[in-house]
Amino acid sequence: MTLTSLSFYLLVLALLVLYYLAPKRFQWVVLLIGSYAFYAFVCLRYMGFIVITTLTTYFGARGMDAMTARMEQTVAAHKQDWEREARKAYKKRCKSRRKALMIGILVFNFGILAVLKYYNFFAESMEALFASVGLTVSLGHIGLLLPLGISFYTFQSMGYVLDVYREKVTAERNVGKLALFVSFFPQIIQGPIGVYDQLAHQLYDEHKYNFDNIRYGAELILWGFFKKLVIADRAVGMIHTVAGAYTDYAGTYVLLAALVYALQLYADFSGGIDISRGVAQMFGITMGENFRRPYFSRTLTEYWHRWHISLGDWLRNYLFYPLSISKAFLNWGRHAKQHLGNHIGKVLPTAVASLITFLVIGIWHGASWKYVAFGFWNGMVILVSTLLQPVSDKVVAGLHIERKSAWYQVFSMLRTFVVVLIGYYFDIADGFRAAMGMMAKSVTDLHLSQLRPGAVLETLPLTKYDWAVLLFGTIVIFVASVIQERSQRTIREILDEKCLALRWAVLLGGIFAVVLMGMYGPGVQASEFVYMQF
Amino acid sequence: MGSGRNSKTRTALRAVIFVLIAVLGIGLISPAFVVNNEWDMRHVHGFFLEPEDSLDVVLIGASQLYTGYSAPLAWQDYGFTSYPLTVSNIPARLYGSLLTEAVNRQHPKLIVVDIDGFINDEDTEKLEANLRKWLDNMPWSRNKIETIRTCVPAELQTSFYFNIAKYHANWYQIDSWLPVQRRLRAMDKTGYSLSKGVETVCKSLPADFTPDTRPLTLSDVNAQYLRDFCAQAQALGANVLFLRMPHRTQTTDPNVFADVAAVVGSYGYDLLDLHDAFDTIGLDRCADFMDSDHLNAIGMETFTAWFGQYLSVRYDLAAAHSEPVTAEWQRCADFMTQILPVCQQQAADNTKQTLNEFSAAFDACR
Repeated sequence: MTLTSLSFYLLVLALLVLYYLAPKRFQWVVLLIGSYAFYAFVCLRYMGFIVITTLTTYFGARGMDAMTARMEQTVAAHKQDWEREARKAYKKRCKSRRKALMIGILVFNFGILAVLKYYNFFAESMEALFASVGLTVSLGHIGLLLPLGISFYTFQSMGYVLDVYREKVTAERNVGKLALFVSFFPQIIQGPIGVYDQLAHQLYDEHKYNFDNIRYGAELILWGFFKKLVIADRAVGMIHTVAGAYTDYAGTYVLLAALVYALQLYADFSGGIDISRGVAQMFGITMGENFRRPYFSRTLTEYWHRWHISLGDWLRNYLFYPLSISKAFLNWGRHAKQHLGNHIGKVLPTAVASLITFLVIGIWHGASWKYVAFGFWNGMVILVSTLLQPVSDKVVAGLHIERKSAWYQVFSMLRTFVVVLIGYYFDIADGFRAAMGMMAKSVTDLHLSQLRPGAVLETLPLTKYDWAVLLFGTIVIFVASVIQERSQRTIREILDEKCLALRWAVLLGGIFAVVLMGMYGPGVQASEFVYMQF
Repeated sequence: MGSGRNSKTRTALRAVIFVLIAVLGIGLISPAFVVNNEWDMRHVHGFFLEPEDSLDVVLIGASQLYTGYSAPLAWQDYGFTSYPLTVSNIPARLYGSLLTEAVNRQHPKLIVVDIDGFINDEDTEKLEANLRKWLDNMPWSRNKIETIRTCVPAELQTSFYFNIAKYHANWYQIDSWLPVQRRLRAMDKTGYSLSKGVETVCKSLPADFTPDTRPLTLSDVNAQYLRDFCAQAQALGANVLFLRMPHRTQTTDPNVFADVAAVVGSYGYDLLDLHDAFDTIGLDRCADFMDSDHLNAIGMETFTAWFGQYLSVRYDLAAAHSEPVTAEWQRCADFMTQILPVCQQQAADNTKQTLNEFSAAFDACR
């Protein structure tokens, strides 16, 4: 059962009927049952993992809250007889215990993720290291597949634990409600990673039936289907074929495959998120945006604010900021200021924190050196560009370039896109060496004459029709993105102001485009969403 | 309050109309893109154009029937109306569905069942395609739904209910579906198939032709399908004659026809085994065949004459038909009389051309 399967929508339909017919105070129960039914249907064998994460999160968060309450009670009770120092020492002890509990929950749950997702990678890397010095060591391997959505629900629930620890939110008392927050079915497959204080109350609130929610939801789902079935699934086969045997292809085609991958990945991931958000919207639940026209970014930092926003936010809030303002980093900054000057001293700690964050982003994507390289590339570009910002400013000023001019904006977008594209090579290649090989080929074996339509059709496993549909899809996405970027409103909002005939024409056009141009039906192997594997 | 209710009603009405437009739109365009085997599309389509209860005999089975038997010639010579309701490479599991349709629509006096599908194992790779030749071309009915439910593998059933899932990508290949649709609409305009499903490839065999050898056998699975078919025919009260058409094919299992005869015999039905009855019928082993399995237009005329007589002698088939039906069959017979010599000459000349009622060579005859 995937987000594009008929069985998924039969489940959604059944849940919608139950949801709006059930007494309002039990609506969240319908969602919980639906979420667990969905998870069991897709991933019954690994259901224990999500249950364990839910229970440890629940009891851990409750434990932290209880510790805080006990501490406050005890301090209040001893207000008269405790000296200030004694009270401070007691509070410190309590906070340490609370911190230990938080760390314990994080270690346990990230440990599950690490063992399941990274142990084999670690073992293989260590074995290779030992082998390089002539030692044969076998560290064993785990034969388990990854439980569905483990990266997403682990990050989401650990975010909640950290929020409870920081006393940003209070611990949920109802274990069922927390289980729903961890397992909410539209987002379990590939996010977005929800934040407790934004999502939870929506899940537990009572929702009256509202036709607009159904309509908006359906429109988002349709848009997601267009991206996924018309564009992403049409392109995916060609990309895998070229990446899997890149040595057989001229660099021109390797580059073309990488460019198509940029389109495919965006269409696949953002399409899946649109479907998830659309389904949630039908239940009256608004999930946060995960993409904001990322290829219009002018810098790599901006790109990461527009791409996979929920993961970026999570890492910013729970890793980057805590690291940047940690004592060690602040001390280090002061030290750097004295020895390396004001600018470097100021930006180096943040740049290094950013590099660490990107390494985590890379590793989050998968257990492979190519993902480490992906994170390192992104982190290093940001680190170097931050450090060299004054140089860049001088060059721009020296050349009398107006940063706000249209051509410079376009240049910045293209420059950022190239940097992003280089990162994508690590994504599509079979490994680190292959990624480097593909990049080298793209630069050294480039012949524009090979882009003749006849040559492309002969070489790459896409038909004339496939290219025409991909071009059409790209134009549709581009136009929609330009409209959204300029107006800073959603297409749905803009459409809502138009006359009924135009609205219906656009929607019917979308439906017919998906029905006629979509990749589905017998003989078509439905491809999984790329981010499902993460 | 009142305006709120009006607004809700308007919204609901709009939603219903929108969904209806979308569903109707998809429903209307879906059939246009259906293209499987054009020959089978025409046979099946032609069968459903025949007026109800106008056929005296319905022949069901595989491609041997539409290449080897001409209903208009049989009508001209023996006065009974008939139609080869066929699916090329018919899987054994489909026979029951064809029988239901034949009986429900036509209540024929006799049903002739070509046994080819029962003695060939199902080709699993081509099963979907072979099922579609029948199911995608028949109108919706309880029988169609039942056939999808019982004959189609579960993972494919959805695409049989919504065949746009299978054929949607055809829309841009206008050459693949538009000419087919034009011919089907031309048939609709005529109101019936002029040739009653005849298709022929203008070939004949050389004197040194080596026939194909096939492991024809009545497998356990197919034997069960055959028993189910016989039981169904009995339940429907259908008068059935099982037939093995003349073939040049050599079989590795000499008992296969006896096995079939034994099964159908246990239900009181006969098997007319004409597998190698060339001399009885008067067929030439080379000049009358287009390949190991199929008669050509010359063989068709000879076989139809023999088989028509065989049926008219043994069964009471001739019946008075309404004036429009008689007029239809007379026109078909005239058409067949005009096109047959062309087909036969081309077969003798081994032109390898495929001819049917829509061939350009017959434009003047239509």
